[in-house]
Amino acid sequence: MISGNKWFAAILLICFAAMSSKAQQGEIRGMIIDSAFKLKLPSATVAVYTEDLTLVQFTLTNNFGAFSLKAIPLNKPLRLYASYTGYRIVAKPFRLDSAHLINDFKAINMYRDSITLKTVVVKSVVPVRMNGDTLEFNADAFSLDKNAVVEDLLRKLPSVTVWGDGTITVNGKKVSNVYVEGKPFFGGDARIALQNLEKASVSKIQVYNDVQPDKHADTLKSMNVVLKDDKKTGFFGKAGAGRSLNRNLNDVDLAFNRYSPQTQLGIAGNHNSINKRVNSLNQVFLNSTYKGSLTDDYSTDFSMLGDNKSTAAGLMISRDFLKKPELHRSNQLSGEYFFNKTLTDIRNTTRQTYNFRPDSIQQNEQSEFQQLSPESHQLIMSYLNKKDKRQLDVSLNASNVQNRQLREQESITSRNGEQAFRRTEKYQEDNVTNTVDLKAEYDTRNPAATKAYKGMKVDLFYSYWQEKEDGIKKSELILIDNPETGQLIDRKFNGITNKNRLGANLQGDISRLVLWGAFERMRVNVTLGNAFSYTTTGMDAKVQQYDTLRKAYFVNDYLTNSRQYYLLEETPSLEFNRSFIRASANRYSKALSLAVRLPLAMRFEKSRSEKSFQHYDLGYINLLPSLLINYNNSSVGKHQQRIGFEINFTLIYPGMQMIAPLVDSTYDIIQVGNTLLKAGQELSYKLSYTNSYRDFIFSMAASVINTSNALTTNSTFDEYNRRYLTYMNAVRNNNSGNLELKLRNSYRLSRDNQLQAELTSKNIKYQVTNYHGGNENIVDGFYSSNAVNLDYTFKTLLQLRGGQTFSFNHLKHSYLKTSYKISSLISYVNLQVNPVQHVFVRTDVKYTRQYTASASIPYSIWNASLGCRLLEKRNLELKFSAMDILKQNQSVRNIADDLYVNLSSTNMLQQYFMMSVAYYPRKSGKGK
Amino acid sequence: MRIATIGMICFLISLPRIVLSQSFTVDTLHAREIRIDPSQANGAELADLASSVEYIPLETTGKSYFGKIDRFEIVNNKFIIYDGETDAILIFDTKGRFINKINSIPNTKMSKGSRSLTSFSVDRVRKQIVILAVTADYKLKLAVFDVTGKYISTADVKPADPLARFNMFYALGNNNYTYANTLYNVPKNLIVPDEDKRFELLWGTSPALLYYRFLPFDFTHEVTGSDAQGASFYHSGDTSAFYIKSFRYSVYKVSPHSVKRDYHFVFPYSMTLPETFFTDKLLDGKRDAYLERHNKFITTIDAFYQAGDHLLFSIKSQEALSVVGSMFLYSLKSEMLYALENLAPAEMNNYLPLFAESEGIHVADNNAVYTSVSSAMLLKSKEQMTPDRIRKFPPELKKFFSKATVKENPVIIKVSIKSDI
Repeated sequence: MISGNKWFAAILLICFAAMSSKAQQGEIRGMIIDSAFKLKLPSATVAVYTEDLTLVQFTLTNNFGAFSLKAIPLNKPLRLYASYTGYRIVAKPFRLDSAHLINDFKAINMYRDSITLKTVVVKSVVPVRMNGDTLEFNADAFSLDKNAVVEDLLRKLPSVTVWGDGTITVNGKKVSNVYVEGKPFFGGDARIALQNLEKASVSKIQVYNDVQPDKHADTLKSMNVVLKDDKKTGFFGKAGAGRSLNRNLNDVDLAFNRYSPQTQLGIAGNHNSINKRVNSLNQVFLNSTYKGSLTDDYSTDFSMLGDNKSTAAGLMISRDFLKKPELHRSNQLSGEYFFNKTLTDIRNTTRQTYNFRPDSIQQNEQSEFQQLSPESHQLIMSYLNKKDKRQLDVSLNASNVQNRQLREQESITSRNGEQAFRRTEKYQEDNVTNTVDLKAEYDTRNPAATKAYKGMKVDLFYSYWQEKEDGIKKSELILIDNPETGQLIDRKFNGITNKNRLGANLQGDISRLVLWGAFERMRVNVTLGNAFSYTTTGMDAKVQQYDTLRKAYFVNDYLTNSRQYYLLEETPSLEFNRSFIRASANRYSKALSLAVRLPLAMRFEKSRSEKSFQHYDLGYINLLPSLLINYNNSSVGKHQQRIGFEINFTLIYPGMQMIAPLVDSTYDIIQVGNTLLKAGQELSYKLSYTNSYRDFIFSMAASVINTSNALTTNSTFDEYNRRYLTYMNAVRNNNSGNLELKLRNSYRLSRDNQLQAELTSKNIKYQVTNYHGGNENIVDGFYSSNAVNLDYTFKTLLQLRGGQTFSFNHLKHSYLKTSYKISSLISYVNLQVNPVQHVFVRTDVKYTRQYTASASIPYSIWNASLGCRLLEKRNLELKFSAMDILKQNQSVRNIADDLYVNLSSTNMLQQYFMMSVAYYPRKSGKGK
Repeated sequence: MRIATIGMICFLISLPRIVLSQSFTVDTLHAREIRIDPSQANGAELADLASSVEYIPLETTGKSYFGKIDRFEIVNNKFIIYDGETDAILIFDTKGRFINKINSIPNTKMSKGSRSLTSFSVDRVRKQIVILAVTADYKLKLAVFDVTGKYISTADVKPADPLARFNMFYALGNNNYTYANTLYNVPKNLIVPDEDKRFELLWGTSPALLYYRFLPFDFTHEVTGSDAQGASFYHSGDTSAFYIKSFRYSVYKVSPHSVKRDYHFVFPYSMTLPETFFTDKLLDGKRDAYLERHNKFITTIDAFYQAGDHLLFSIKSQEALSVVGSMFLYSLKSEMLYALENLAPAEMNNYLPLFAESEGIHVADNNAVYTSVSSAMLLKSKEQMTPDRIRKFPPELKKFFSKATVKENPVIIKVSIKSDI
């Protein structure tokens, strides 16, 4: 760390030295006017070029046509171009030298021209212009490396800052959306567009203010990348493969994206055995950009257990039926298919120390082999049609997940130091889950409507969920002191659960429709809502047990069951909302809004089963009021504060497994139902505060939750130390609290030096009551995690990130009289340097240290890679990576729960060296 | 802004009334045509148009603090300002010294939270401020104050009184009032049987049940229902007012017993609302969206005043004209149109903000046009100035800048227009 700090300081010194050694430069000023009409031209473009048309400097004139440009090189023939929409371009040659450091052009006359300018001329000499309220940068005016992407162009634009974390700001205001041709590009993440699209295919970059849904919020900006007419279609992608030099490990990436004015198509896939988790198509797209992006969620995860092999692939397509993008209109169909398969082998040895009762200590020595092979298919389709004040949103989400789980376990259990019993277990299960979710939303709400009927939002939904299980379980338990009296379980099971849910939600403003508009006169908005859903669940389970005497499988009548469960939920609700606004034009704006929500939650459950104890009917009717207060205070050109306060009353309904479960007595944990269970009640108070001032943001969120009648369990143990969990309502009320703080500031030290700093703190104090043998046990816990992160970038040459996280967890059981403390310290440094063009070096070190009651070993994971880009288009990448160079990845873990402490050792991925090659094809436009 | 009041007033009307028919001059034929293309307006140096510029900071005390100038009148050397944010009428002298504030009517409980004092007018002959106020129990009262804010009287307004029946009123002096009738959200089936609803202007005295109707609606060019827009009166003289209606390019002068179409504007075809805008039934209820799409059309002439031979006005369209802005000065003599927002700060105004940064034309009176700028804007412009320019400030500006903060009241800018442009 110390050497890191020194290095960091040295880099800063070099940067400042570079900045201070500027050569002598001159200045030009003047005013752009329309002399015929005596008009001063505001936001006219003034650009200075060299004779070979290289852009030197540019600016826009102020409200009254005046401009001034500093840092103009001396002793060079230069040319000033003044331009304004609807006027002929004016060129003025000039030259500055040490005797004439300032040139005042005074008034530069422009002449109106109704003939459209030849685009070639405009492109080359107008780097920026104001088009109405839109600021437009002309890409052709900026000369960059021929392989440059849009992000490189943004870094060249004055007033635009691309931050280390990918955020873009324009004059300090955050760009909230980046569009290409007015539409989101491949899922909307800006980096996919900015790091892939060639600068040469861009016609202009537009920056404009977003339409504000909340007029009290700070203004946000949107950016639109306009492509050249002949470059509106194109493709980009990546084909990469890596092979470990010292182990049998592979990594293959594939991504291909094709775009045209109305259609976007993307295909991506990955196969790896280096613990890279691939959760979505977008993740592959994001990490396959030409510019190269390596986010933490797409690199080796050294914390994953076992040996992992993963294969993922998918396809996305979206079609826009509108030929030209329009602000308030949309007519788009999109679909995505994603496949993911992983194979995990885990070999694990564990020592588990139980504290059942203060006088009883039990220890398990266990070795386990586990194989998991989940495979999932997911299909998402959506259709959006937006027109004026109507919006129709239809979506379909279907998935199929198959998982085969294989587990072999062997354990020896000792009680108070003496061996008590030995157990072997073999478990195999095939599990298939199919889901279908269909949703349609139609929204015609328009709060500004002057009519009494202000529109309505209607949601209709249907979902289907099916789970099939098929498996075998073999388990043998032998008591050491009496080997004859063991327990042998050998059974086959299969089950199927089908769940159908159908519902509708409505919401609309009725302020003027009730009580002759009295509420509207009192400026109270009244919203009427209704949520309805009906769910049926059918569960069929068949269990066969091996009879050792008859040497055959017979149906287990207790566990074989058929159960139906019906749930009807109907919640009409009323919301009253009143806002008080105090705004003083050009000074401040303060808005207070108070809302009271009154939902009447009605819930009816019916359970029917072959087992009579599972027959029950339940009904709940409760008013669940909530209060919301929001306060916004913004001072023009200064801070913006937001305070939110909420009180919510909610119910936690007991599930059917808590009321009447069917329990397999061969498990270690046996659930016992309770038909007298009441719903748990939660009263929560939430307070949030945000204060932002330019690049500085402070936010705080605090909540207190009071729980009464909480759903909890009473634990008892039988002679085999099987744990019985009987569901019950806690007698005592519990309070839990949560406090989160975040402080963030961005410093633009100079045009090339940027620093972002962030401090976060998350603290949770929680209290849960459970029972042990009928005795009340209060679990008091405290969790705290505090982090500091720094991100420094110097041009595109260097990016340095570093940070530290300290977290702490403390648990105390009042009855068990046990307490656990675990804390951990994680420090990391990431550095990327591009020492020469097209060569990059990346290295990162992560140091982890855990503090527990028992011994723990600190470890560091150090990774480094070196790569270069070859070929004319710089689209062939060779890379050598050395991962976990110190070979310290920990396979030993220490975990504590309310009753036990685990010390386990598992096979994990460790040190490997990999050579990889990647090709980034990309092309825009037709032809060459 | 006036919709709430309009709603409440409409809520109360229903009784029969007596209407006199009497000889009356209505002249809509002899208007002077003003043919202009706003996008081709001229720029000018400040000294070409103005003889002097004065910055008048409005005294800021706990009592005189207000938000924004929503209405501005000058009478008897006093600024009468209505601020909707604090729902108060504030009175300052022409040096900016605070005189008084009206934020309630004695012995009257007002409806809270609404802009209850927004409907007021100034009787320039009697030198009185007349407020049509809605009480907490939705009764209408006519309260009278003198121009120093001193309370004089309150009278009930009977439901049959035209004050209660029509959307807007304007004092024409000496207890004469004119009323504008807009058909905002008036159901079509009510228009034909109710004769009053067929006329857009009325005149009468108050309190009185006698009034005169004139200027019948031209229903072929009248937008009704939820598309209907407001009308406005602007100060013209002690006993007259300019009357302008949205979507119409004519300016009427109303005085007791007469209405005359004084000016009619003709704009380029590309900026003029087409005939179908009024007649196309498919546009009913959607004219807002239509204008958003066709953003070059001029929807209204706003803040229209005459100062000698000069007309001062704003032109509203969805899309702003970037070089020339929306505030103009038209010389009736030379027929030249000048873009006020393009006037650059100059030595005459100590290089301080002018129309481009202002809150629009507030009023024109005696060859001077009044606008205002926020103190934050003034402070910002001073921060960017060189010290030698600051040194040249007149004493009153130096005094203002020595203690002013962004929380100060707005600053009035009085621009005296040259008589010969």
